[in-house]
Amino acid sequence: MDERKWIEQTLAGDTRSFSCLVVKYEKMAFTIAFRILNNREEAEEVVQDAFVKMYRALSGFQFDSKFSTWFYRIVYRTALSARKEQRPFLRIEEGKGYEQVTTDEADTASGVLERKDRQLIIKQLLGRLSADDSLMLTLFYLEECSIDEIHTITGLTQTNIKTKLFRARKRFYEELQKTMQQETNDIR
Amino acid sequence: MDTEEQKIEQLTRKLMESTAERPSSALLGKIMGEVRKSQPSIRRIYIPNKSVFSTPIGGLLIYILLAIIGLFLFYYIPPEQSESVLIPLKAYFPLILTVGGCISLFFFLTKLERWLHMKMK
Repeated sequence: MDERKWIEQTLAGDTRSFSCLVVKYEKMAFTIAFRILNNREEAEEVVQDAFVKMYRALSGFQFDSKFSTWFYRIVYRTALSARKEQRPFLRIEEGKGYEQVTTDEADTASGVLERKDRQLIIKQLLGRLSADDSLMLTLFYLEECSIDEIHTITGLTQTNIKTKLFRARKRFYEELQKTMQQETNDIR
Repeated sequence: MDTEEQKIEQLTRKLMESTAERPSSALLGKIMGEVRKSQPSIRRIYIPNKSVFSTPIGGLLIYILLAIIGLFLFYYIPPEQSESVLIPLKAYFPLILTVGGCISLFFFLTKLERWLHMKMK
């Protein structure tokens, strides 16, 4: 059964169809909330709240955008309210020069790709990055949202998103290289 | 986008694979519990039947219509013709009375049933 059917049946009063939507989106909703709050309990509360908000607002969803984008916007706003900071993502100066990922950094990252504990390393690294950086990387590289979809979710301008993504990626590689160097030093 | 940039994009995507956080298994139950709580409670609502026959206005209209037909027959049909119309009608009079009585009894009992049904709730 497709998503549209689940939505229509939920609107007709079938809560089992709604549970299908929950199963499909709870993981990503939790990841978004966790990236912003960096606390599992708070993130779960936000997800719970976001799903209830979505359930109440479902009749207003017009199918003119992707359901996931519409729902992630609710999650994002609920998480921001939970953080009691309406604008954690400051608008940065657009078009300011930024550094590229170096060959060294890319080589280190390729080495990490071969490791069995890669997931753990990357998750720990994402936890060390700012909420801004880790959320951008999650939406773009993990959830594969387009720039336009990230704009709908966060309300940031497209140029701002591109700049933030570029910087987040650079910090990600820098941190990864630092972690690997630290590990090498610890072994010695 | 140059080749180097494409490689970095691919590498980042691979590194980010499977980094989604897993919520506790109890989350689904909690969400569904909250959703069920937020569902509006179902109330029985009595919707009055708005059919013309059951409303007093509808009944009144029918009586007026019948009165007009009666008056028309009385004033506009000449006496010799009215006799020829009324005499054959006399034969059917018990039948008309029975059918008319049945119809009015039917509407009365329907109304009574609805009223009692409402009172019982």
